Amino acid sequence: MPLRLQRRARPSFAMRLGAPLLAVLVAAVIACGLLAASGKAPLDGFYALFLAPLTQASGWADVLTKSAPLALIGAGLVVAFRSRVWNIGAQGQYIAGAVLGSALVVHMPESSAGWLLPSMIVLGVIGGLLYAAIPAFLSTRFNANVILTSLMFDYVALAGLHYLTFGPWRDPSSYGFPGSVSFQDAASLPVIWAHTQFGLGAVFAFLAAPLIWILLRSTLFGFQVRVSASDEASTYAGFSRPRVVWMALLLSGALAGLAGLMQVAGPINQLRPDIYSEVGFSAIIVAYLGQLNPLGVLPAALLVGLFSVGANNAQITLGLSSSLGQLLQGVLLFTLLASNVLVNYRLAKVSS
Amino acid sequence: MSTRRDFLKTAAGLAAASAMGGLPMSAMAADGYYKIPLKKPLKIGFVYIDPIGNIGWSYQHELGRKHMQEVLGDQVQSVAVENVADARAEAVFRQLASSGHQLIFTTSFSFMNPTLKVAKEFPNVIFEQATGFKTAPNMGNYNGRFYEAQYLSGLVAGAMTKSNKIGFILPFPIPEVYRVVDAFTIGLHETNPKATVSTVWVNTWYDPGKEREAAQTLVASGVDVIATHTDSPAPMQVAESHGIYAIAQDSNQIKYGPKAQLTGVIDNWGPYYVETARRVLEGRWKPESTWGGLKSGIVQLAPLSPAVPKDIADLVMKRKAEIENGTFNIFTGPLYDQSGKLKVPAGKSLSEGELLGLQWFVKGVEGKAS
Repeated sequence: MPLRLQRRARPSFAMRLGAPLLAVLVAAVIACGLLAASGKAPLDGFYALFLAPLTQASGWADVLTKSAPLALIGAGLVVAFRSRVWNIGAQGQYIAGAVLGSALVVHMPESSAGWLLPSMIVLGVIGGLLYAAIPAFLSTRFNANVILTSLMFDYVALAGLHYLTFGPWRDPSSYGFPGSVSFQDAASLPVIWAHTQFGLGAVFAFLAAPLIWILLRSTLFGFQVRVSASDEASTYAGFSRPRVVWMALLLSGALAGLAGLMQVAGPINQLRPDIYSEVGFSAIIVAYLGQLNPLGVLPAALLVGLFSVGANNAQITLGLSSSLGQLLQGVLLFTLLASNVLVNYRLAKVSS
Repeated sequence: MSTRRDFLKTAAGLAAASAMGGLPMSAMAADGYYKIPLKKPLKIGFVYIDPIGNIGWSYQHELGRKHMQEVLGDQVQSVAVENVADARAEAVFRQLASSGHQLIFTTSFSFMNPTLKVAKEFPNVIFEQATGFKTAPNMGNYNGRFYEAQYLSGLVAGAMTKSNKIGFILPFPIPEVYRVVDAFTIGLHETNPKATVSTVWVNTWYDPGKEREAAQTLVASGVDVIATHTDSPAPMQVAESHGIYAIAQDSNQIKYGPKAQLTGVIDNWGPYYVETARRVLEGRWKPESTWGGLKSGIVQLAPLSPAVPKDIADLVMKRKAEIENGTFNIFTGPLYDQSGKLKVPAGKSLSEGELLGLQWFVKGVEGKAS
């Protein structure tokens, strides 16, 4: 019986809630198959990967710590993507914020001044913001494609980070190993959950999403973003496209820069060449997984954070190889994104 | 079993401590054991920086873990977490410590600071960190004198090279890397004073793509023996495919270079892991810095290729015996640095402390020192 996809008259609310559940179910079946094929008890594997971290307080702290930068960057990207500004450069902006904020520590490794940490936070924001201003300028002035420029500047940021951490900013007592000095207490965001890495930075990170939600709903800029989906509507409203491009990039860049600073002054505690490895491009997935809704970003970030903690957990408790853990995470992400099609489409029989 | 451990001279420990400016000296000075409330079976965690794979640094630690598990049986219950990036390390240590693991081996130099940080917060967990230099009341460290086997490999390479050019692929400019390259070059010059060593820094411990590129660049520049201090089999494979020689690193790589492999360095952690776990089980553990070489068995020399002439093989075995019984010191003067400056006069040798902090290449090594 041939089937085809038929567009729904309006997005299905039931499917908006049901699709993720269906996705988890399909992923569970595939995961069980893969686990069984590798000689592990399927249910144990699924439990270790996706549920066990949530049965312990320290697991929650871990998941929250992992998710925090993703939620922060993801909230900014929602604004950019909703404005149809394809900022693929969050990773570079994240690095720029981390680097600029770290500059103070590198030059004042002994300082215990009270203004140090606030200044670092401001510099982190400025770093990300300025770095995002480059593609904004190139786009509005020369009509350069933001996807290309923002992506290319990721690699420039990475090269700069490597130069600094292997070169002039290398900790002189590290015996040649790359990375800055470890940040002193006055330059570190306090840990607020003992025996975990969950710190003050993470709390503020989770506040960004509701703030962005309010911004989109209640401000003129938010309205401009929301009508960006339609050229006619924006033009009719008399909105300046360059202004939206600038605002979207600066805002998403600033939040990514803040996230970078938050990580180096928080859980990582040092400017290292691999500071991006935890975040990378995952924030883009988070933004889409959250249906480009600032509030949706929160559960999406938590889910991706859970994957990362769960993969470690499965190694520890089951001896599951790290690649199988990553594969299963990929399967779940894939089914989640694929199931979205059911929100706007339904399966129908082909009538011959 | 104490012969299995070569302890750092106190002076070396002090030098490293003062360089770092803040080490709990009381723990180092105390001769009492560090006691924790043990739960049995002892749960032991191992953290590896790269994927376990079937060769290389982390693979050798995994062999050590399995050996330990086999010897100690149901007294211990061990797990391995592989492919842990530096930025993620602390979270993994915490996850292990808070899930009942009471002995945790962290097997990368870059894990040192996160290990120290987590050790302070989990006093009922014992940490052992490989290749670093910091200790705490509940944190010891251990390392291998890989340079001993690299010196012997240098003797072989000197005899086998025809182009008199050797290539060395290097991860990071840390003392361990200077030690192995210098020891290798000292051995090389003993059998072939004309030979030189070309270096390529790849800034990674494990990246088959980068290591392959580096090896190919070296081959193109005319080297006919490749050595590496990185972890993938790529350099050995490149050597095999170009019909030249290579020195194995970490593991016996004969299956990747049946013709290419001359000899090499094999890490053997099993006995150390058995001994350490035993000490914890019996309440006899204290934080120490262990630096074992050929004698302790932590470092082994890979079998010599049949292509190696008999007189060279004899020399290698003679030197190996001399290193093991302490009558031969590899780093004995005269030693010159790259610029030709005399660093170690004739009759003198580098001290343990100087070896620990070594940051220069001997004469005959080409390429920047970092």
